[in-house]
Amino acid sequence: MKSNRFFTSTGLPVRLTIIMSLTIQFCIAQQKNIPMNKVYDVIWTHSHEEREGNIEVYRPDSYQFPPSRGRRGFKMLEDKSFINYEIAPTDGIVERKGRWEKENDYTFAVSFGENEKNRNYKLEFVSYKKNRLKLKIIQN
Amino acid sequence: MNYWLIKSEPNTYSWDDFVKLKRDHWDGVRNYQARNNLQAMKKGDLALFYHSVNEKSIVGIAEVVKEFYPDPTTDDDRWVVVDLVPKQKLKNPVTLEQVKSDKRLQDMVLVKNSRLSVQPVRQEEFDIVVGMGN
Repeated sequence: MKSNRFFTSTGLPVRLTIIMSLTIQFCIAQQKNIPMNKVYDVIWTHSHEEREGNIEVYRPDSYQFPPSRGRRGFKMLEDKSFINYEIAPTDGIVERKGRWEKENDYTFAVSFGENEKNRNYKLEFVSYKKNRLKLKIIQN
Repeated sequence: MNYWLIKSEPNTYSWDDFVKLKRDHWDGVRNYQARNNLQAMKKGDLALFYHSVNEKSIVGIAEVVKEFYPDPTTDDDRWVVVDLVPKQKLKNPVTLEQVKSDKRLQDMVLVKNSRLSVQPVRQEEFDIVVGMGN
């Protein structure tokens, strides 16, 4: 007969349940471990081919992307300045300069000044792995 | 059938890239007038493929195979794409200089508003350009 001391109500051994719980927590922590020193000063370019639902994938602009008629991107600097790279109305890329503010460990508010408030948005980082930055863009 | 001219920077997306893909959506348009022209395209319409920047020449003909739908590369619902396939590479690229120096082509949008990335072309203009290229 199984004792309650060694088995949970689901029937799983207590030790196994603790290990599984710790593993899940570790995985979440790892996934959210965004090394900001590797994010700063890089032109992160949209890899629209790798989009996963509402999660967008960005890679450094040195990455060998498939041919595309335009890719947007951004650069965050440690001094809180921010550059948005947007596809220009005449094609090519136009730079829009702004600022970023940390809202929490993974969410950053990006703003472009008084006259361009409608362009403000939030970046929510989802994961970073091998120069592959996953994030959500939350429009204000 | 209507005729168009679509512009691309060959260092980022060339006619050869387009041919390799065999079919592609025409994305990256962020100009309202160009967007309106994409929305006016119908299945079967033909478009002159223009290499901008350094080359400045018409290099091929594309065909519209799917009419406009939301640009899949952005969440911004103002922008649309159409699907195109390569139809014919011109034997000899037709340069902007050639177009400008041909009196029959003086009214082409390419001559009057060369920065517009998707522009209409009259049938007679289309025929003249294709004749020059083949």
